[in-house]
Amino acid sequence: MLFEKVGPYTPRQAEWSPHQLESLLISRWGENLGVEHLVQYLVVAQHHFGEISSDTISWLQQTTGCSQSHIQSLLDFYYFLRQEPAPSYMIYLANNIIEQQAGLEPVYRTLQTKLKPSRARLHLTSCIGLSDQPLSALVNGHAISRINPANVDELCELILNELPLQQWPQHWFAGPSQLRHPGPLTQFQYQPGSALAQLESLSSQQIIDRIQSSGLRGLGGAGFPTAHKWQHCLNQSTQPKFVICNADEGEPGTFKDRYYLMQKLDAMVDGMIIAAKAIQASAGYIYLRAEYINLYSQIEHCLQKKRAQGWLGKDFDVELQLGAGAYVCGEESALMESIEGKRGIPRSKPPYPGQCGLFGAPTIVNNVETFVAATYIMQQGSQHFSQRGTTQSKGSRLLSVSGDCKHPGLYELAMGTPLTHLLDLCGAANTQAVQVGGPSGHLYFQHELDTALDFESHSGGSGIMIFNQERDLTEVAQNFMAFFQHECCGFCTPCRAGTQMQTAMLQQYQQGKRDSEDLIELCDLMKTTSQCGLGKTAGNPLLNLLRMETRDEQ
Amino acid sequence: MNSKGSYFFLDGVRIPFSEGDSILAAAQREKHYIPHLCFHPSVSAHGSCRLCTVKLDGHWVAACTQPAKPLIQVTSNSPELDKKRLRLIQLLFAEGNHYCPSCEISGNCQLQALAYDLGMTHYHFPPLYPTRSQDGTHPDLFIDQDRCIYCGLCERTSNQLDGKDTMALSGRGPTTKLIFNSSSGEMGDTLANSHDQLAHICPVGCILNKKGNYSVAIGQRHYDHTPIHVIGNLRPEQKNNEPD
Repeated sequence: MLFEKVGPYTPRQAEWSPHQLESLLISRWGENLGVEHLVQYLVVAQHHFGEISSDTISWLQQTTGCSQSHIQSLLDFYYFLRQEPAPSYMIYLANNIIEQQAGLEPVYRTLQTKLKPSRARLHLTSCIGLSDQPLSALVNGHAISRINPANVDELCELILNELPLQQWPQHWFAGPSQLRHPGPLTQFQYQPGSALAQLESLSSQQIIDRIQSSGLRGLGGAGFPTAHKWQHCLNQSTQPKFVICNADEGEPGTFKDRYYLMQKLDAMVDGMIIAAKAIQASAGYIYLRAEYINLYSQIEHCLQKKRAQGWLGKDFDVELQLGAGAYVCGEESALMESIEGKRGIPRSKPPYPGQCGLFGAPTIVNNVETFVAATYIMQQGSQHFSQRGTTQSKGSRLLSVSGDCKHPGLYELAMGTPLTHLLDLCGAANTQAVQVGGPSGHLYFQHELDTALDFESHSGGSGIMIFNQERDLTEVAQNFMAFFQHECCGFCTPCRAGTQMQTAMLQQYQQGKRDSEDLIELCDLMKTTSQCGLGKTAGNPLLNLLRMETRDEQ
Repeated sequence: MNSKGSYFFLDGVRIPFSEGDSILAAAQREKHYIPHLCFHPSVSAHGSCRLCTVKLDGHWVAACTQPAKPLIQVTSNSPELDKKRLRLIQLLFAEGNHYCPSCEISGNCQLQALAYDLGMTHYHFPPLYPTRSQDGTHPDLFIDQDRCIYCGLCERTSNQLDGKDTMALSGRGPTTKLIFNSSSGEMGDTLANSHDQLAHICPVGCILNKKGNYSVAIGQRHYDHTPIHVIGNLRPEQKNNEPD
């Protein structure tokens, strides 16, 4: 296996050797090592040798025929790829607003001070999918949670003593998030492979019809009708076709896919097999975010098991690939660029992936939860899914709740559930505002909390962050704006320059040197002229903040 | 598929197009100007500068990447769009370090020309004064990234026209930059030379020829007297009405 237990962000596992790198890469990708897997080669090399050395770069240039600048452009783009020698511990401390409000600053300062004499290196990163158990960090790829002022010294001791992670007390390692309110997708008893038995007797069209009648919409947040996507791809006459599972759960405050990957993996992979049959695809990919490297071996084992059982490997096989630290790769076309070994720059659309996707072939990209839902629908029947939810948004989905409430965690609720109901369930009190759908989503103020959580209300995203009356919403907006600025791919003018300008202009506004109209105009410019969804929504936090100020004036 | 005889409407004017044309490519062939910086008919479209944003069926799209379709109604010339374009130009000015009065390319610069054409009188946005690199290692070419707008025309031209893969866009977000394909990472060690198309494609003053910059005096350059919407995007040495 390419990644044992932990990630590529570990200290050196082996001395650099071209033979070892070659055999590692050939064991996965065969004799012809082409440029199309370059991102993966870099991830593997870093995992095994601790860093991307100049030896690795030269070897990859010679072997794949790629240019020096191609490799350099990847190293400059992906946040987790590193040329400097590996430290003893690589620590990425999460700094989403939830962590910031949970007391990140003093803990960060303690870590900085105490670890100064050590060989460890400390970095901040955005959400790592553990907002319900702050403070959290990745230590050499392992997910560590519930760091606080009381136990941070103990953490420092472990690191200063260079105790191997295998010997750390178990309580440090984050398990799956707590499922507070189960529902059909999280609770259905699934016998691995059982939804696949009936595929033999169903045509592609019949599968799509069944998905169609369930009303399933993409649960990554955008809510595009799944059957429509699949139908468009089935209608293409060219081969090959690809199925991609988007496991690049990067929207801060979202951790539901992490749950499914830990608890419903069989159903997810079977969902991919169902989709493959529906669009007649021969190959599939799971694109797993770098932050979830600790789930890699579990997923790889599941794929191997399904190969042994004959579900994978004959007509259709799935390859697990790792991201390398780029939020924008959650955008489907950027994700495909990354799989093709390039920087994750979103493509212009049209053409859409269904027609011209991965390597130019018809491709569908669906979220982890969407594939789980597809399996549920095939096993339980469309009606079981569609009987819940609203007219336009059927079924249920899993919400990731964090922030100011008694019971942060996961809640599976029917589409259309009022936000107030969720707030009651999770024990939120004295609520000032709720961010729905992560930073790119919408901020609901106290008088708007009766909104329904569904696609009609544009509340399709899973990440729910709750802020009580004590919280400073300006800090919230600033945190989100900094996030978008850091994660912008840099391709198009409005997003690249706009995300930087927002911060500068907000400062001017706070000093009374700038009218709110100018800020609103900038956000509108980003929304209307940006190339992809990141740029189109990167102005939302600032707009939400301005909306709050006008609310206060009224 | 041959769609000879197909046409669409740009600001109410019939524009014939062929299968595979973008809105911008078809319009440019018909001498209808849509503002742009990162587009050139000889290389693949990029869609990064967003200056060619037009309105189609109520949606904002980049004309350089949006396929032309029969009978679509496209709006390009409107006060609303020109305001957006002005702001995009101002973003580019405020994001980099642009010093038109002392720039070798002044008067031939497409960014400057569009700024004049769109009526830019000030930055509007707070200038960011970034620290960016310069590279003077090449005998004939000087690279000043202060003036780079990341349009990627040099990268595509070097790849697709010169066959050399001289440079690439790298980094991300605010750290976006041009890098050079050589073992030292310096421009001087790349395969580029001043006869390459790369040396003449930059729409701004980022890739400068070290020689001959003042063979045409300031005051007699392309855009000193004629707006860009009349003569289009011209390379410094390109004659007016000379095809690309």
